[in-house]
Amino acid sequence: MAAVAEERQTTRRNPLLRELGSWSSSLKCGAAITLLIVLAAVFAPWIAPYDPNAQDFEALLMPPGWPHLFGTDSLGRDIFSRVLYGARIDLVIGFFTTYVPMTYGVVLGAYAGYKGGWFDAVLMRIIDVAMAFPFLVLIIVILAILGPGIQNIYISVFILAWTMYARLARAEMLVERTKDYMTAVKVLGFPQRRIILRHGLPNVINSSIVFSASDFVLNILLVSGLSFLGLGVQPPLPEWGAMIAEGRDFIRDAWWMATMPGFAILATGVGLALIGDGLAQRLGERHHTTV
Amino acid sequence: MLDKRRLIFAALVLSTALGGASIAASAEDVKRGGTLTVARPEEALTFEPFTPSDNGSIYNIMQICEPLIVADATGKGLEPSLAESWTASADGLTYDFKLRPGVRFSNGKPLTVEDAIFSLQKVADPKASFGFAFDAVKAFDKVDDSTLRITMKRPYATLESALSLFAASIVSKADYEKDPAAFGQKPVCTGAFQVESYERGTQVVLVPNPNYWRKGVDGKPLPYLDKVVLKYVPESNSRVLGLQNGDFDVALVVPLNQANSVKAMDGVSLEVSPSYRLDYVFLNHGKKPFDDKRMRMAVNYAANRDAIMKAVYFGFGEQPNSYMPKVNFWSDKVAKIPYDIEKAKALVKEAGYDGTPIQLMVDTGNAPFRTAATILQQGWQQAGLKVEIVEYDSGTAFSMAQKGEYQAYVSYITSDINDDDELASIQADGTGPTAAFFSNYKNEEVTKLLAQAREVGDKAKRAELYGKVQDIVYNDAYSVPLNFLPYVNGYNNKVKNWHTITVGWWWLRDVWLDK
Repeated sequence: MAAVAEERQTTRRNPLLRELGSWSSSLKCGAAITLLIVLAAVFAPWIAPYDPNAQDFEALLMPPGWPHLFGTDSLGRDIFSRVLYGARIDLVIGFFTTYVPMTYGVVLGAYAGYKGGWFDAVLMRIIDVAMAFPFLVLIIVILAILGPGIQNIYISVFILAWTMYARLARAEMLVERTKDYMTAVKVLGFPQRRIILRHGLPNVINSSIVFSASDFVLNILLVSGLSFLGLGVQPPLPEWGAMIAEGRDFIRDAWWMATMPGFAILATGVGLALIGDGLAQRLGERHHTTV
Repeated sequence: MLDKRRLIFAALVLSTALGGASIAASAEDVKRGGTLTVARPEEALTFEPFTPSDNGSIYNIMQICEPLIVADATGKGLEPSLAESWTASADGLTYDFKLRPGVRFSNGKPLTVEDAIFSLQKVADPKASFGFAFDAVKAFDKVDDSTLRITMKRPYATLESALSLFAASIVSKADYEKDPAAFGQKPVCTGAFQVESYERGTQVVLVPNPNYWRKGVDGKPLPYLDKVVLKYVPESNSRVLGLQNGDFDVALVVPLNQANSVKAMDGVSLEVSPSYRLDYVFLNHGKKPFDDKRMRMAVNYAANRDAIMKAVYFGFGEQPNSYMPKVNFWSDKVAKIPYDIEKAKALVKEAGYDGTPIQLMVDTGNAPFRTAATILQQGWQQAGLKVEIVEYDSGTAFSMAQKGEYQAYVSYITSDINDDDELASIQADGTGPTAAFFSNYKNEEVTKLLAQAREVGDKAKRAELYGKVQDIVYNDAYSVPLNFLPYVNGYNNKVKNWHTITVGWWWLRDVWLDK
């Protein structure tokens, strides 16, 4: 706890640039790539040269070049514009499907780890059952019941995705709760909620934050995969996975239709994976120094 | 009673002789032997002829089992198969079919009248999938050891076409009754091929039936091939690649955007054959907003068929002027509904559309139909409608259509026979079992005209009646027809005599390999 407080003081004393300077190169790279994609998504309406859904039957399947940077698809739509607008859809979906389940997953896991007993046992059995099945299969089962579409993807991910976070937080909490500072707050007579949320949670959340960076990528891939299967975003929305699915039949003579959105997914994935990597180093070190 | 019978057989023989002449190879250049590998996008579900309605099963069954009468080498006409000849009474109420002598099943047992009666009773069962086609039949009876009599409740002009259905195939009674489930895996029929092995989801291997009765041009029994492997390859790029590198001799259903690159491949030919298929948007007349004819007309006016022909079909096909495929009595006199956004806008306004989004349903993974839906969506939105495209896997989508839980559905229909009656009755007769093929279309005049056409024997008269039905139903905006789509397949040049016939399948018995 003392070490954490000291860290906080250092950050407060030093300017933002110093903080940036202490980042590892993979963290910097990842952040730059991700920032670029986020900016592209935010400013898509100003950057995109065309309406992403405007069909032009005089310009079908044009190869990459000018004026269509990434070429056009089978309906003459500008792929560059569609990829930009697609970033809005994929990043938003990725954000919600990652951080909403993380929020309650971590809290539940921390609580279970601290309390133990029947709550812990029941929660862990539920998680065991949920994790016994492949994630994608369960999602598809839920979507088959609810029907395809974005809201239902949210619902099915919210039902399932918290389990990993709960497990991580619980494991950390099992270690933390035996430490002196936890005993101290307990002896001081703090209420349980305060002990778990104010004192336990900041120390158990690190591994979940690291995991969330790669989970973010996996969730974008999940949505792209579901759209590819026709269970996700419905046409004509320019979701990256749906665009790849549309381009699949043209891969032999119009490779750009599937490849360009594929690159977008790749870039996002690399950016977030680098961030995850960098965070793992940083938070990992910090975490271990407190032990 | 029997004295005034009409002889139909002569006319049929004539038509097959003319049709067959152009594609028959001469005796010298036919080679025997070899294995033909065909890549198909459809999976075979069963070999039991009485139940299936999926083309994956039907086209295989046609290679293995035979009905009394069968589609000829082009698919447009009929020719005698297990029935050598037949006669009809003048009142059209009694038909006598003479079975071909000496025909044996693939297991060596001779074909009997009992087998034929058993099989026909199974297909004519009103509860069976194709029972409706035999609605007019009163009884199947044995006259003698080689003659089968069909007695009718009323005259029925399409009996011969109905008998040519795959579902009317003649099976071995003893083997079917022993174990119907096993029969579905390894049928005992009289066709050119029999099943050697069947791996569901992978492939079907067919080998010649040693007892087959048809003779090749070299005077020996058909088929020419030693073996046929029908592989299930749902991924279109894999089919094309396999054709290119020689894994497959034939790739069925070439994606149209790749048709030209297939044509340009060395040693490969592209087949474009006329079909009995129509791609169209099903409209549900039983639900808002398509219960209003003005709305149905509006979506027709707002369908940019030129763009669809270009972006979806790459120029293959023909813009339709009918609600059903181009079967024998198709009329060219019906004028097409033009593309006219202004008219569509006016109709939408007149109908008082309330702005509730219209759900346009598409099968998951069907890229051409999804593209077509996206083009339709743009046109319909320009006309002032709100349109959402929703995707369901084809099974779910079809069962939703069956239950009438849809508004519009991009799909297609194919005819298994050359006569208009099958599809005209299914699609346009509101009193039938499928609610006019899930459209809930009802028009008393059409029902009356169809009943009339079913009973009239005269061809010209029937053509006139079906032309009238086509005009009325099409202009009632029954559906949004998109394209008379031809069959587009690729095959290696060593495959000879390969033809997809209008009803959809291929006579593998006539195919040979030039090695």
